[in-house]
Amino acid sequence: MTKWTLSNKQLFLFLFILQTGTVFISVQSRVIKAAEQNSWLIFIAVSLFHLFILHIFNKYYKYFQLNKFEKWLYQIYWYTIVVTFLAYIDFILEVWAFPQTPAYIVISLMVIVSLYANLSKYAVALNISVILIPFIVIFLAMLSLATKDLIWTNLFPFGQIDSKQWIDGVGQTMYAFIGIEAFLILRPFVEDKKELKFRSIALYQLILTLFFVITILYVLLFFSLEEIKIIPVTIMYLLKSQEITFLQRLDLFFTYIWMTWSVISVVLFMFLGLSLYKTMYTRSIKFTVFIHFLVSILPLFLITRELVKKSHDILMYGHYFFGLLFPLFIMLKGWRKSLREKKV
Amino acid sequence: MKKKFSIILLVTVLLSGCWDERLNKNIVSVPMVAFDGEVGHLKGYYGLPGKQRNTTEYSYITVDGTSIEDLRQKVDLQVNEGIDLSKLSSILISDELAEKELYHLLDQYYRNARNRLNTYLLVTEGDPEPFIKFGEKMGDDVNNYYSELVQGFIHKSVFPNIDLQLACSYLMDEAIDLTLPYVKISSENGVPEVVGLALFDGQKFTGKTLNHVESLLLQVMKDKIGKYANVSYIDNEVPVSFRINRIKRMMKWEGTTITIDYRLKVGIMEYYENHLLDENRKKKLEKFIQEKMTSDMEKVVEILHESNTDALGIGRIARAFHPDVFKEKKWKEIYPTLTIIPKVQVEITDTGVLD
Repeated sequence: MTKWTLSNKQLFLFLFILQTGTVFISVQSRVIKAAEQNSWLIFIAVSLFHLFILHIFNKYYKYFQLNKFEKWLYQIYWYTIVVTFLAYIDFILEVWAFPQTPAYIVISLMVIVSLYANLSKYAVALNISVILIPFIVIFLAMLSLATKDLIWTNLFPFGQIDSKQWIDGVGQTMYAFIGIEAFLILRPFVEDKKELKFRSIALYQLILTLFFVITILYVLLFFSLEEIKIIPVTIMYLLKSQEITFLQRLDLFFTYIWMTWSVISVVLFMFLGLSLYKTMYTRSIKFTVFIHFLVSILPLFLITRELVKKSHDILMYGHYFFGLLFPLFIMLKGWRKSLREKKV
Repeated sequence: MKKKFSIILLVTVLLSGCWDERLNKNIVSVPMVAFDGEVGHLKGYYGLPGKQRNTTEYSYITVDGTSIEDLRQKVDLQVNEGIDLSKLSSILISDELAEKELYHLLDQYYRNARNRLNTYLLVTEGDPEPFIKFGEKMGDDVNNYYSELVQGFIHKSVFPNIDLQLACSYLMDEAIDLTLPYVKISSENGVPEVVGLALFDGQKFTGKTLNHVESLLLQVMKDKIGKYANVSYIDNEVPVSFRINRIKRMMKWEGTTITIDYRLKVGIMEYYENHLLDENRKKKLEKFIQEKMTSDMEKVVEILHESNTDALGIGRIARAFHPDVFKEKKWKEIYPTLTIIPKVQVEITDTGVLD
């Protein structure tokens, strides 16, 4: 496998785009539907749990040694995520921006970007997220336009969380942390391996949490709960309702930002899968082209409201297994193996 | 390899715009629509400004249909091009129609991503056709005539800033009720004029309205005034006009009795008795204004209670902080049992260039 490294900042930017891309426009309504005024509290609780997971990952990543079968499992998981995300992206674009454009054109366009990035040098995929930094700022600025319309009483009452809200809220919040296992894949490639302190991880998790909590609060304070029940993509709807003199449809402008964001997250997931593939086989160009062809075909069978929703629901269970349980199991296995080796 | 990819990428990017291209020459923009009748037997009026539909003159189309979408499709059949509602600036609804479920009329506008959410809603006294017909006299203002009218009155603190999106929010939230601009055709000159605010009880127009002075007071009571909030009274045959510069609102809840204290800072705009540096005269005038405003606010509360319109959003505060008073799905029964007492304290902080 080709030697490559990345800095702490590259690692966290990679993770941020991977975890926010695609899902950040829909996670708010999912969480609020499940936990109402307590949604942001539950999000913070789940985020703290993931901070703990990241800390464990950082401490024991050396034991995360995948065998060939496990590598294939992870690849299948990530390619499935990509297929699901592409179907979702096209579904949203069809509703909001391109109702007439054939799905295969939109999906091919997105997949071509990924193919290009993954056939190029590693640096392309690792650094492509940089172009999103100004978009993150623009998105938050666009969101802030709604500040004057927020109804602060919508925040209350909060604090009394019943068991149903906990179960549903935690389940829906997990959606925002899909891709956390990428940390384990990328961590060995960080320059100065010993230098990744808990403080840096906590800061990253704080930024990610703030990003999501801000969007959840804006949605919660802007819409009534009854409205949120019928609007699946609340952020888009919120921006659509904002009027600025120089741009008639803010939502459309945001759609393009989100599309870019999502395409890059697709690039990153494909990069993860292909980087594992490259650890097993030296020749990878044909496979790279083949897998991109496959992920551009499969979403075409999923682009209906019901299938998009169902496939997203299934992804949450994928995260429970591939993001949390499986890595912990592999690290435990690796740790026991190292103990055995030490004894020998 | 890279060159090939670059070409493919470029070609695909160029292609993606073709299918969803909507040229202005192929569509007819509708800036205002009006509805009358009832769902199942609706009548729609679509204003079509000049310089499109092969005409330079303003015209409007009248159609009958069962639903808002049905009306739209029927209008589509009457124009060579497709009609485009993405620039719709105002929707006028007859008072009779507004007395039915309002959301039933608006669903189509929320559902379509191309529709604007900043469109203003107005309730008309009687048949809305003359309001659309009046487009013939609007000249270049036809695209934004009613929306600018509403915006003007938002600045004057007579109307709340409620557009299509916010109306949906109000309609779906039982803890607050909607108020919409109420307009009529002047019997003197046939020009659309503002009456005040139409009061809603849940989804339905109650048939009760506030005049424009009461509407302004309602915005003051909500602490949501626009750029200007000017009030005029007569104090012992001396006119006194003032603008409200600042409002501080505090609510005290004692069981089902809510006392709302308003502390207003006002600037005198007209008072020919002058000498407002004289502390006694100033206090006397302040007392007059606060008594008058308190009694006027009490009248507004009475009207709101009669129509069961929680325009002040008392329900939202109850839901947030008084769970003993607020009960889900029961607020419309609880609200009329509340006693709301407004109390006004006025401080004159500005007298213009004269004392």
